[in-house]
Amino acid sequence: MSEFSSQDAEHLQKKALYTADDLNKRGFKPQRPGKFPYRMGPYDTMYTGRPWTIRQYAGFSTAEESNAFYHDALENGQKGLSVAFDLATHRGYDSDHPRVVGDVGKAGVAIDSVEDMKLLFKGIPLNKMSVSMTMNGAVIPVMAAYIVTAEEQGISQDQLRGTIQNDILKEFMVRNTYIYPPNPSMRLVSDIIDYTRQHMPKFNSISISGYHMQEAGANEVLELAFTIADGLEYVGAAVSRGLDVDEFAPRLSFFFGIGMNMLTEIAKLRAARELWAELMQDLFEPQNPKSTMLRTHCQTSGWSLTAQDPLNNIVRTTIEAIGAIFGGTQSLHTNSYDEALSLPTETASRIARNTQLILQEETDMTHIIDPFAGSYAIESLTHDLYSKAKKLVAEITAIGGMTQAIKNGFPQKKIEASAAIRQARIDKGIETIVGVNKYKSPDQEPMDVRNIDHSRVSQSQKRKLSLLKKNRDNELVKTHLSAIEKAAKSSKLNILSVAIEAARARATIGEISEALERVWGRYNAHHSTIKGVYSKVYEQDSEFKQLKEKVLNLSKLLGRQPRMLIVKMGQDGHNRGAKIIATAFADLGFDVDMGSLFSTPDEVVKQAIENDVHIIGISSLAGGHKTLITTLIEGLKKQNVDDIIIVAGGVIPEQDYAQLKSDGVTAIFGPGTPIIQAAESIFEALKDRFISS
Amino acid sequence: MRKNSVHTAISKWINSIEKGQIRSLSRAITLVESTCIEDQNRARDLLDGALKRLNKNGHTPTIRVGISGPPGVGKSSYIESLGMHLLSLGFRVCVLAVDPSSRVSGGSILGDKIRMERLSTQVNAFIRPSPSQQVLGGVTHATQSIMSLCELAGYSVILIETVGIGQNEGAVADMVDCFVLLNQPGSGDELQGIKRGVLEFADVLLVNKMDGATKYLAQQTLQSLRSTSQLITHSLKNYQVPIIGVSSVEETGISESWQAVTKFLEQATSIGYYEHKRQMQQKQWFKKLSEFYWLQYLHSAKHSTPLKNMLLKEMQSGKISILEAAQEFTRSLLNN
Ligand code: B12
Ligand SMILES: Nc1nc2c(ncn2[C@@H]2O[C@H](COP(=O)(O)OP(=O)(O)OP(=O)(O)O)[C@@H](O)[C@H]2O)c(=O)[nH]1
Ligand SMILES: [Mg+2]
Repeated sequence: MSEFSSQDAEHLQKKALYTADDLNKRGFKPQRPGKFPYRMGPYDTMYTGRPWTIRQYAGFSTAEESNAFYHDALENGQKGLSVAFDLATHRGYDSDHPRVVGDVGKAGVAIDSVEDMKLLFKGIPLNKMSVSMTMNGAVIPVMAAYIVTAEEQGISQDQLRGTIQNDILKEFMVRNTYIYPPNPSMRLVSDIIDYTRQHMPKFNSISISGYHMQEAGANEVLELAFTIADGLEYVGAAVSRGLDVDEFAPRLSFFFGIGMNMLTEIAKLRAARELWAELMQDLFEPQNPKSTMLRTHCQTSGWSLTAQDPLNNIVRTTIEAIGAIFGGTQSLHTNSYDEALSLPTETASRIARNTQLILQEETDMTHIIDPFAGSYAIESLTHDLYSKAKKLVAEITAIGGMTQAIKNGFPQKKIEASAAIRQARIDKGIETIVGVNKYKSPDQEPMDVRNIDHSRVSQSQKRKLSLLKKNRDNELVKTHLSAIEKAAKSSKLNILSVAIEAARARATIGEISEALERVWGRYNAHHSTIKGVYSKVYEQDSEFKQLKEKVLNLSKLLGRQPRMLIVKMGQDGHNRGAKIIATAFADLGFDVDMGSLFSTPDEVVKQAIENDVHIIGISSLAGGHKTLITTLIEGLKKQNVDDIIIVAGGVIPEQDYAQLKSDGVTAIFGPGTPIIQAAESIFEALKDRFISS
Repeated sequence: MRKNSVHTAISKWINSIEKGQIRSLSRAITLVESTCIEDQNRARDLLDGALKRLNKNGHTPTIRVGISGPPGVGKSSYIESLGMHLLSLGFRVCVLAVDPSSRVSGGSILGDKIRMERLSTQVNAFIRPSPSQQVLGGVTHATQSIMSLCELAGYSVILIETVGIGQNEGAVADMVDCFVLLNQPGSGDELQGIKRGVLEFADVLLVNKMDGATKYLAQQTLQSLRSTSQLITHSLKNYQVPIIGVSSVEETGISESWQAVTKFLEQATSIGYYEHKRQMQQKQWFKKLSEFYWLQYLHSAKHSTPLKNMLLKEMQSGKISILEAAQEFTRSLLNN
């Protein structure tokens, strides 16, 4: 492998041949499934007893539309639900909030209150269906609304089965839908663990997630180590609050991403189970064996899927699904082939679901437990992943635990560097992506994508909100909201208990979030961006050097380096691309201003003018591009700014290119664009605009 | 005729800066920082006009505060909190973040502003991070000029963030009315050693991160700084450098720190030290500008190229020494 991977201490070394020697060297000892430390799987019968749960993550537009989609999926073989909320909901804003104009219903389903939640689960008995909810920032109001919804379906909360993600640490690290500062956020996690322990014994109180780290760029070692370290931090927090570890640890669940390195991924899941079991046993000495048992959900990697030649993605997803299954996952989401284009269409969703059904019902994969047990290679990789991750976990413990490490930016920097290296290796062709940097197929017609009529969703949500506010007892709501504030100020009350009352009185998701915000404020995590990592892969590369030289010469004519403001607008928290662009462009000789996450178009206008930039580079992945970019360009015009070059990148369907270009966007760079190519094109635009020949 | 039209363009530009048009101000800053010779000539005209306008219209001078400290001590975060506080007091705030280190390779990632998230969206705040670059005569030369432009634009407080790495504190301290130095919790022990040189420039000393996990350490640092405060000499007689603990995150100690700045300025004004300092600043700036123009002349003197080449050749062939060559070259330019 390349010079880079071998230097990287967190990178797993793989050999061409593993023999019995490797097992001996590593002190290999056989294990049994369902027995501590669970390397072969948490249950003794595994899939021979019951196969993994097919659980597809979905949600879009309104509650009504998502509900119809769920019913269809359940009728066609899906076994559990997994709700994707829109970004407004994630960040605790109601649909009528001015900061979410581009986000409502776009990248998930818009839920503003108990009324929406009831529509979402209409005809779905919540005592029978296990429901997973990906919610972290606005976890309190969403849990409250869910519990009240069940209550009004006639189901008591102790019957509820399912999972709330409730994993705030990885939000600060990579997923970016946090709301409050780290410390109060950690308290909310514990409040939920405590509440479910008392009232919802069948409900998983948390889903400790590495998946998002992998999607943000973490390699398998980083993903494994940081996930386990997050888990230990949560257990520590709950224990130090006085909870007995055996009272809650059996309800902790995990969530991993599964990429194209199938063999490594199998080893990763096996190593995760063993590492977790041993660390839990050593650190917290539980009595109940279930407290050390790692059960996990998995999702195939969306990052590995391409916008080019999208049908290839079916193959990729299948391979990844196989990795997850051989790794012994308890439930699985498989991605749709149009993942890199937009939210999945009906057809793409069906194929994704069928992929799992085929693996489950047409192959012999479910007939044998942990078929790779004892394999020289897989057991060696399992051991190596285990020890590398264990070392990193110890490093984090030395820093003072994950909350502190995240405040220092430690895991973020490692993940960013890993992402930048990966990008450079692909751009340079060291790693092959079929259809992107090799075996490209000739121009294709743009594929049909799911299009969400954003203004219709927005209007419908606003209508429902005003109706709700008219029909409820507003005084009562006020009382409940101030009770929430009070609970936030003291540490004695469980905030979820108080919020359930408020939700019952029809306080909205936004109102409950805001009550907490009044006490704790809204947080924005900022960390410096790394430099020099991208260019390192390109050392000695003549194309790279030439471009750098050209930029330098241009700088002489401009009187300064070309200056680019990179922005993320709206509630879109996907910043892997923006960070990679920033670091690579800086390496090429651009001065890069990093805008804040969650900016409004007006804020971008002010910053672009003050910093006097040549280029505004917009990165948009959550579907808000049309609304937000148009507003930005109008804002610039209002200030008589007409010479700043506007470029955009990210998940923007080709169908929208024409409109954006006619609005004034000079160039659009979709997924898979080699950065050097984007830089060349921006260089030309700069020359055209600023250098009179 | 042509000269006139240039003048009207420049005076229009100055008018709109004075009216508070941020675009005009920000473009003027770009011009001053530009490395192009033509831009530098225009910058000179613009600046000249701006300075005359400042004198004529009797602008009340801006309060110029330097904020320095080691990387990561929390300068930007402190400015975010202080800036918001100043806005609430009715000031218009301008922040210049300059990186005095020279550019290593490639471009910069300018990250100070994202730590000033609230401040950066306020109408009465203007924030301009400047990348490190090889400006002739050093960055501080440009910063002096930029401060005057910001003053013309009506900003009543200018905060300058610079990384303190033990070298450029002096240069920055010379440009400002009050120099605030931020300390890292835990840096107390090394006080007796290398840091003393830096401490001498401080008019106000702060210990940041007085909160959460770092609170205890910050308090200890504060104690040890205070116990050695007699070692910190200040050129203003009888002035005791205040040492204050702040948390930029929890926003504690922010208003006290500003009170300390104003108290220093009052005391300095009352005994004429402030006047003296402003005069010193002018002198410094004069020196810097002269050096700058001299360098510019040196680099642009095309007619001297043949001479330079000849001298180089003689030097390489060993006819004359390197010292003789350099002196001969300089002398010939002076006589020109
Ligand atoms: C990684 C990823 C994540 C990570 C993000 C980690 C992070 N910190 O960035 C995680 C797992 C956290 C995540 C979460 C979510 N995601 Co996501 N995610 C992706 C995924 C798989 C890859 C994106 C990526 O990073 N690619 C790698 C980078 C390098 O590529 P890139 O950003 O496209 O940038 C390249 C070019 O576009 C271009 N470029 C981009 N920007 C710019 C700017 C300039 C100036 C220039 C010159 C070039 C340029 O150059 C880059 C290099 O080639 C995409 C699907 C896909 N394959 O694209 C979905 C996707 C973007 N996610 C999606 C969704 C819905 C979500 C969620 C909202 C789901 C939910 N409801 O909870 C959440 C919420 C996240 C949030 N806070 O916003 C949807 C968006 C749907 C839509 N647009 O309609 C997508 C398209 C998947 C899908 N089909 O459903 N996601
Ligand atoms: N706990 C705590 N952390 C702080 C405080 N001020 C800043 N920080 C943290 O310290 C780190 C650096 O803060 P910055 O404000 O960027 O520091 P800086 O001195 O401007 O850094 P450079 O410009 O890179 O030299 C960040 O992680 C901040 O969140 C504070 O008062 N308390
Ligand atoms: Mg800073």
